[in-house]
Amino acid sequence: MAALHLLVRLVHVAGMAVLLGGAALVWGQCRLAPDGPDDEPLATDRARDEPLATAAAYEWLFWGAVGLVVLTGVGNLGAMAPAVRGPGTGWGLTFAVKLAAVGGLLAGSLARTLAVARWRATAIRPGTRLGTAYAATAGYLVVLVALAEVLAHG
Amino acid sequence: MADPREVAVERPSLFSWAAGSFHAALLVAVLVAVLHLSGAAGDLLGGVGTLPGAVVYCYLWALSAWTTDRALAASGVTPAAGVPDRRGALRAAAAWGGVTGVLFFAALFAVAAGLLVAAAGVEAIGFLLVAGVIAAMLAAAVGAVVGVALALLDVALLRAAVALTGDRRGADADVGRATDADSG
Repeated sequence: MAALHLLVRLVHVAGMAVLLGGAALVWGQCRLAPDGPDDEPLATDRARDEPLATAAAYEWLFWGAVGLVVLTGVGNLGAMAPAVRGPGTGWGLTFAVKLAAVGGLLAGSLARTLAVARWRATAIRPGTRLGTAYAATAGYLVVLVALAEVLAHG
Repeated sequence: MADPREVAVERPSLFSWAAGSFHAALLVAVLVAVLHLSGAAGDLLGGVGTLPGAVVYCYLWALSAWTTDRALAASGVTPAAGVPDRRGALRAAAAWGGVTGVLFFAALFAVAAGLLVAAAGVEAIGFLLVAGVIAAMLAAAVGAVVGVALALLDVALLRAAVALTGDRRGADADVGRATDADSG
């Protein structure tokens, strides 16, 4: 049973690493991509188009990783079940805040995914909006990691 | 520039994979939040067990991904075309939400019924049939309501996505009409 719980935690941390690392990677690629006119059609400049292609690949991975992180997050909670404190405690309040933040991440991320799909389907250049979306995602995920740290060690 | 309404959609699309995963994750997060706020999270989640819990979640995830894909295919909603027919989209969401509710319930019921028959014998089958049919109808109704609620949320997030892209062509039926009026 201890090995199973260790596996659950490993998948949870690895999933979070994919989410945060992927968002930071796309953000970094957006910052390094060459500038150019926004009205230039997509697929005319490979170096400029790469961040959007990476973003689309990341979005497929993102939702798989999110599913695993939520699954293993609930598994973690079940594993520490006798020690789970109620909503009236400091830990319980932090956990409630984290759950609300997870809801915000899910909703905001679906909007971001749909924006990426729309940019690709309509061949419209995202300009600086793409990098901003992934910077915001990475920043939001750092806050979630900090909340998880507080819950685990606070 | 390509007309967003004429773009071919591959199935399963990124939209259906993302929305299906979003629905499953959000439902579980809301359930955990309700349990936590009621003070029952520890006892209930501790009693489920890690492996059975993971199997149930994966089943819900796969079911949600499939039914969301079917609902999106039936309604013609895509990130590029927006929502061509809002009522049609909500009807598809209700229908496939009902399917999700019934299939999710059916799997849990089959396991519970198997355990009950093993413990109480075949005499329990008659009761299980009646109870199962009634509960399945209830599951369909709950699934339909949840499906419509999630579809409304999806439409709101699609609007947010359109705002993020900075291009409102074909965003939804209302925007489509406004664009036609402007061009006329």
